Amino acid sequence: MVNGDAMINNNVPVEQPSAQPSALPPEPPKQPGKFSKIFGGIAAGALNIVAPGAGSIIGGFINRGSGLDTTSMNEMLRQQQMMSFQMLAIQNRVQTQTQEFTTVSNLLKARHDGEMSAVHNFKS
Amino acid sequence: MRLTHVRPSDEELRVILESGFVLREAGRLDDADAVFRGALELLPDSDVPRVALGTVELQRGRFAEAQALCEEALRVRPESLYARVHRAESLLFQKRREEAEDELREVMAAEPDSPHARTARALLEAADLIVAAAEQPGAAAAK
Repeated sequence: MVNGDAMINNNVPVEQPSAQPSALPPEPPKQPGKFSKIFGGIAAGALNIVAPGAGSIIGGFINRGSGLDTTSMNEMLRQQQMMSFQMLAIQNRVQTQTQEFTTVSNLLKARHDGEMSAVHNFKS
Repeated sequence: MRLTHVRPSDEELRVILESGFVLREAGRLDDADAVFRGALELLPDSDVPRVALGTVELQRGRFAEAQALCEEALRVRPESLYARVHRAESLLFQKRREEAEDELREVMAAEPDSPHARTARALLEAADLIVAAAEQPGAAAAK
């Protein structure tokens, strides 16, 4: 009885991955699949909402189907950090302006109320 | 007929004063000034037209004149919280912050629920902004 199982039947030669140069032409670099392209686009859009700029970079990497090397990863992180600082600065400025607006608005309203009270209660 | 011969009712006087405030808010300071000076002729014993004239001076950035008008109002009516609040405001614009804050706290303590106490509280909260505005050239009231 012939057993085709290489683990049991030692007579059957086991196919080993060959390190020898192949006669076939070299494989072209891996192209991004359709899924990668679509997913890359979605990821870029979504991440741009959370961290503007960083989303496009990450989405681009996914689209290209390539891995992230250290340099580009560091560059991406640096850009993301810079954008985060800018975002924080803008948020602080907006918060300060909102606070100032509220303070001045309260003051104007209080002054108006005070003046109207004085006008309505004056003694001639 | 002289202005002293005119006897408007209280309601008419209120309308005159309110029109002065509307003119001031519209930035027509000379017109507002004229209305309040006319009201002062009609109400010589009232603090209101004097303080109102003081607020016009504040808008013009003439803080010492505003203070003088509020003090004149206080001589006519020493208990006037309205005059005290705006005197304190003129002090704030002159960067005499401690005096202003003392005055504002006294106003708040005198009648905590009055509209003048609320103005005093709002002025205290805006003190930083007012002092900063007063340091800018051509400074006018926080508006």
